[in-house]
Amino acid sequence: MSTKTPSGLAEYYLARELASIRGPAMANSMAQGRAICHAREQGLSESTIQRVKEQHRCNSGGPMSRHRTERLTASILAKGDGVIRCPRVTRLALDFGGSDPLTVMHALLREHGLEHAEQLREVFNPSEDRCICRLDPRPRRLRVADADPKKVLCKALLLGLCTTVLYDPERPVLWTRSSLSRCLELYEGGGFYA
Amino acid sequence: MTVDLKRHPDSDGDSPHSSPSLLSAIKRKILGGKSKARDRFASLGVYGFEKRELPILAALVTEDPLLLIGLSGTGKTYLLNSISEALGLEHRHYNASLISFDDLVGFPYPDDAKESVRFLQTPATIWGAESVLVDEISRCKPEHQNRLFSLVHERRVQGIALETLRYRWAAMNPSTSDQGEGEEYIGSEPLDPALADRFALIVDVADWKELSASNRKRISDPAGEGSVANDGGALKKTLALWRQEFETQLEVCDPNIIDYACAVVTALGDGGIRISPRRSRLLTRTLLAAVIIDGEFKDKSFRVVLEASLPHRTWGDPPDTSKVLAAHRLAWDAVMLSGVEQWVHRFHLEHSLAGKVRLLRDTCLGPDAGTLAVEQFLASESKERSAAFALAVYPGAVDGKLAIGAEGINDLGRMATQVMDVDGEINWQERLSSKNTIAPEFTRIATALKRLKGARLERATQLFYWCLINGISVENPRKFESDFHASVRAVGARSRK
Repeated sequence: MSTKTPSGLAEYYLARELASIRGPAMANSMAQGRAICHAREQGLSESTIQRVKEQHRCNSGGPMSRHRTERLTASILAKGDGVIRCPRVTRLALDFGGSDPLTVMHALLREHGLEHAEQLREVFNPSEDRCICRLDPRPRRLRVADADPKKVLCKALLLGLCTTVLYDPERPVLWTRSSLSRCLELYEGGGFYA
Repeated sequence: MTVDLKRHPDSDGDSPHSSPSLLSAIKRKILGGKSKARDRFASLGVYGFEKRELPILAALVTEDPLLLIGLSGTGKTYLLNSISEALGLEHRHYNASLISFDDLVGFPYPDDAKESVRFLQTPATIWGAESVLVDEISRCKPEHQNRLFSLVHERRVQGIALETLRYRWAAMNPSTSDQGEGEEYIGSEPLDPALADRFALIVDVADWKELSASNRKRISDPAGEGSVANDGGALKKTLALWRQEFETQLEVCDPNIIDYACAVVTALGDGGIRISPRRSRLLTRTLLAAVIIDGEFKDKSFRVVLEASLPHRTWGDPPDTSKVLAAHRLAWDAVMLSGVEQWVHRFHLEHSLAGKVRLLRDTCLGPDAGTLAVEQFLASESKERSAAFALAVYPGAVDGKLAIGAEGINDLGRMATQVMDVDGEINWQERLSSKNTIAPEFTRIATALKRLKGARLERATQLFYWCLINGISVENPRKFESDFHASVRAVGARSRK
């Protein structure tokens, strides 16, 4: 002989118990847990328990839906596995420590016998092709104090030819505290039209 | 605003119709110098139509169908009957709510040979009429409306051409769905769009509150009641000259007028106001007549003619005034301006992204024009269209494939680099009874993506992911992607060249 309560009755008991729960949130959820365990012991199926729980939530004004979040990432820059290839050309980032970027760079220029940044074009002959730029999310800065001065001057020249979105060799070399402190990645854009 | 034709590149061509000297001649001949607003109908004893004068006169010049809409007692019928008197026309005036078809054509009887049917003609039948006024056309029975199609559109009844008929006019009260807070006209039903579309001009007639104080007095003055309108033949003479000029110019219509009509119909269509191809033609005819009447291209006249050429209110769906004005502005500037300004307006008139890219690629007047167009586009367009355009164009612009200046490329880049590298979250609500659901917006986009492959799929995914994380719901993902892809191909084609 079965000792289980008939399912309809067990459902009714569970609904009644859930409806009668009043009190602080913690006590509420404990009481709900007890009621559900009891219902399980009575042999009530999980789907029925779920239905009664939702009915209870609905009647008590509780939420009928939950908030879902999903992360989406996609990039066509520096992609090696797709049809579209926009390879990274270079990364530009200088670390001036606590020094003023303009003072440091002008001092470096003078050390190499140059008067202004435009003269660096003749020294380094920068690429004549424009590039896509974007701010480097994980920059690897070149420490100006320790690095080869020529490398620093070359990167500073390129930074002077960049905005945050475009490397344009036709524009004048603009050195500002902001442009010299930027961390940029440069990409070729031609592969976008593959 | 008026445009000096001498400044316009199209005006110094070989076609005589558009030459300034000819227009000046018209002015001298017809108007006696600089055209001025004048109340031509006042000389017929009809007052309060100054602001509606141009479209009504244009309809008299083109001899295209004219419909007047107005409250009762505003002088619609009186005006049209007076015009017919002044022009000395064989006129018929029918009330569409009472008319039977036999009234129109006469009683049919077999001819002597009993091989065909003739119609018993009376002074009321339409045969031999030069002008016909169908009053209360909105109260007409549907079967009679159908019979009026051929009369209004083709000057035919029962398939028989009405050789002498020149003017087809109609009048109606505002339809039941287009009435304001004032009077209601029970029985004045919206017109069948097919019938309404046959009227080249639909003119709203002024009510008392829109009349000037002097016109109110003149209308209220009972003197001259019942007399036949007679201006000494002035209107008839002027109309004959205009008509002659109209017929001459019709064969070689000024390209500016045609361009304006095409541009404005396109712009209205983009704004959700459909204009039939037939109406585009009617609009061109009316504009040509307006130019002949004015003796010059007038911004205001074009706007007035455009507003009077929209039939939508006759079927109870008046178009958004701001959209109409915007379309007029865009079309007028695109046609009447010159150089960079004109090109930029053409760029904005083009709705599809791919069309814009092709304009940039093939006809851009230089980096400054390209930059101006791009900056205005990005400032005024929706986020998703701006993003799609920027993504399609930016890499090509960086490569120097398009004539866009550095400032324009930077503006494109600020938008495009956001789309090229997407990292964010999407949120949605999931029912408690459901598990592992997918964001509804994602499902919509997936249907557009599933048919794509290769580079096209990668580009589309990038764009749609950006839309998703920015909470932008694309109205028609497939169409949107298709336009985006065409834009990419348009730039890519130049790259391959």
